[in-house]
Amino acid sequence: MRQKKHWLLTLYGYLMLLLLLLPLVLVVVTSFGSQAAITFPIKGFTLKWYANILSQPDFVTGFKTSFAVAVTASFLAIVVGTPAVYALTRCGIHHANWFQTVFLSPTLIPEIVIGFALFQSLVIGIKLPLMPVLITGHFLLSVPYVIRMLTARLLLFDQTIEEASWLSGASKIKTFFRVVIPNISGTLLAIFIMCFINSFNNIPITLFLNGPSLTMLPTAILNYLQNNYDPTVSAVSVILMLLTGLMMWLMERMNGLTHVNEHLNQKGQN
Amino acid sequence: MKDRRISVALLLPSLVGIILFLIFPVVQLVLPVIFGVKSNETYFSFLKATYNQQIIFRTIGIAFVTTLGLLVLAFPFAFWIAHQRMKVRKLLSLVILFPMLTNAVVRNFAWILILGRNGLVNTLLMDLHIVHQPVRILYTNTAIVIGLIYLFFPVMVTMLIDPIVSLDQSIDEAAAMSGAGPLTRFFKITLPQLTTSLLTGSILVFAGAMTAYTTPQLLGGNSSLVLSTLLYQQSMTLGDWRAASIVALTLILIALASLSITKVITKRISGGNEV
Amino acid sequence: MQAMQVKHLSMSYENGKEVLTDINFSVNAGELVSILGPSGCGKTTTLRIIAGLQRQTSGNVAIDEQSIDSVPAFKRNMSMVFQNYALFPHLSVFENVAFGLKQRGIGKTAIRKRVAEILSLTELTDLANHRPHALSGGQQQRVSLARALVVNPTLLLLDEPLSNLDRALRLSLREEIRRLQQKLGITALFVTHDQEESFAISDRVIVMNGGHIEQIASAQIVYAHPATTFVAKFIGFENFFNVTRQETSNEYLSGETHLYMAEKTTKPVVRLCIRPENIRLDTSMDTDTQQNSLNGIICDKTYLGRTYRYVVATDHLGQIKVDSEEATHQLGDAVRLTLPSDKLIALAE
Repeated sequence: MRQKKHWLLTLYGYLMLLLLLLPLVLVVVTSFGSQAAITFPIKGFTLKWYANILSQPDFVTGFKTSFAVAVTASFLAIVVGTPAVYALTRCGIHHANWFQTVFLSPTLIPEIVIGFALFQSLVIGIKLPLMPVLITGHFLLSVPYVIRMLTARLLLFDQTIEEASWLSGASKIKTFFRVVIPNISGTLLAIFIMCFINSFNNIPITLFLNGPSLTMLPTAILNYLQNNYDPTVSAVSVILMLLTGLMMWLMERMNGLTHVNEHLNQKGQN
Repeated sequence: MKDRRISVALLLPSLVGIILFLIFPVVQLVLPVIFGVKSNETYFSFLKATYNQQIIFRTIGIAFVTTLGLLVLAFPFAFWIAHQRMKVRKLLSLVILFPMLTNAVVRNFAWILILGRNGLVNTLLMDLHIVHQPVRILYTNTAIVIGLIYLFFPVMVTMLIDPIVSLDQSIDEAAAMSGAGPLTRFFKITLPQLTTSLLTGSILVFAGAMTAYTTPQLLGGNSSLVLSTLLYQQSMTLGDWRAASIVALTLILIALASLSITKVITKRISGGNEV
Repeated sequence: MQAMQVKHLSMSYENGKEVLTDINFSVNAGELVSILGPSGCGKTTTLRIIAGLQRQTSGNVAIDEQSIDSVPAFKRNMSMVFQNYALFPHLSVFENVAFGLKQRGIGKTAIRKRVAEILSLTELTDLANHRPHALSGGQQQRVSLARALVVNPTLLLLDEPLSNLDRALRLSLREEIRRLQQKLGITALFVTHDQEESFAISDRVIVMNGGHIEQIASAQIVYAHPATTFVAKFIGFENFFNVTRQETSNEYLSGETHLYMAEKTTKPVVRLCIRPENIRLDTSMDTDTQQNSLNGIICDKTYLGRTYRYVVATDHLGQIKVDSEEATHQLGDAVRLTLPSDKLIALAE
């Protein structure tokens, strides 16, 4: 009886694994089909759709802008968030829970609403240019990752190590840079990558904050899809998947992936 | 007291950033809806319009079916992963993480390839002569539900793996020693211990499905509008900001309500355990 | 010469809970003083206040008669050995030890020479390039000790440094700490909950309980003459008798039993106490009323290894615990107890 249940469960496990990966494999396969309309099974083999990506100015500039925005926003979030996490975990702040809630509030409000609100009050309201508002939006997205992942790391980091450093004659600031940072650098890099991926992939906020002068990759693909149905999108998708793979590999090397799962759970994905 | 000033200085930048650029804009967005001229009237007239009602019910319905589907599909899968050896479990977690970190456009595009007019499913159905004309699956509620299940499946599974792994094996063994069969043990011993995780996971996924944008946009299109796509359409295409704000407020309320329900549930259940 | 004084130190949390009440003591130059007490007695808090890691509510800490309350921890020139070693995980053994010297702006060659010296003193030379996680607990604590000694601290603080180690290591490292402290002439304050450890290592012992000091004295005096009931209980006295003093001043009355002490005392006495191993246990039922003798019946017997622990029920003094190497007594046996008058200790509180 137990054996049989086990056998069924195994079959189900492999089936779901297949269903999880099959759609992505399909995307890869279609990117090599030579016909302009995607049909099954694909005919021929070509790399021209990959070449075609480069002839789409929206994709090329979109990639560059998305990359730049993601790097800037992630960097900002870490620079601003790290001191906050340090204060929350080390300084015995009253109402730490309350601060925590504020810092995590970007996950509590639907992203599409954040995008709309930023557009209305910052772009229309006080006439800020799109770029800084876009970076602000992505910064807001990234802050909760910094808060969650870094809090977990700092709570694990023995405070007596810092005390030993103070007593050895290093001031609190010196200790932070010479003892704390070197020990959490792996986590910081993992956080940076998580923020980067999340920002680079974001659509709901980006949607409101791009324009003719400001093209972002995910929304560019979205627009392209409205009017075209050819393997170029498959090719871009493959590039994006390779990027994801690269990021995961980097994080695995930082030993940060084990933590990532838990933190992703907290957030719905759009 | 010097320490206190330093900690305030450390907290201030992120605090100001969030209050100024998130809380303030959001409040500015919803306040006119709540307190504006004839705000009640507009809000209710919005709700009364059959068209809007349809969208609200569609959104709730889609999120509900998605959540149910995920519960049924993800639980056994998480159970399977949780019972693998440590190494295999880690590897599988990575495999699940990959789609999770892949752009939502890519993931939904994959389902366009599968569900579209000339997609994989229709090609198969016609090749097998089950149908003679392509079936319309894309741009229906069903497509949105499928897309959302695919989107949230890894989320739900990862939320369940850890609680299942950390189940105390000896409790199950004690039940077996007391004469409970496998099915009884599963429903009377295992499942009750996972209620919190299942509930919180469901609520999280429900809220996510209610507010997701990319999937309903790509797989539902304009023929299957939901609240989030309606928000974008009203604001950016039709320029009706008043209506868009109302939708935004509705979405915020949904998100906050699910959050509070989750808090109440986890509090009550963990509180109950302690007694 | 007093190297460090603590005067009227008090500490309470914001919720009003008082953790230290009027702590006064001093440590002389070159002396090792230990603070002994159960967990939660305030000993670690005292140490952390001296180190500057925590702030007292009132009172002050002085080094060489100079108050250091406004000096931040990193300028106090003290060092600390922590219970959990607290080594810098990202630095090698050498770099860990060199860290404090670097902060003091000492030149590279001087640092190399000084660290090499200390590493050879602590027998760590071969491990200089290892990272802390590659070391055993005992080795890590030796590195921690080397790191603390290398800067020549005005005061060396040790916070339960041996509690995470197994017994054999604890004994050898204890001796090593004492040897190095005396060799280098370092002034040290050692916090522990282990009575044997504190007696073995220190020149003087401070016994703390509930945020105040119970007794300050040499180990021998604390052992033989505990000042309070708490100290007596903490260091192994198990039999306590509430008494009232008779006129002759070395005769006491507990209920209907007369107890005599060898030495006379003028201080007020409320209680007498005696260690289980100091009570004599005989089978002979002498009826002649010898001083401090009483009859009883054995109601419990436990094998402790070297001795047996007997619990003897007496008519007037309740249950008395006796440790004896004699194995012959059985449950229910009638026995005669003798409480030697020179082993009884008088307690004022």
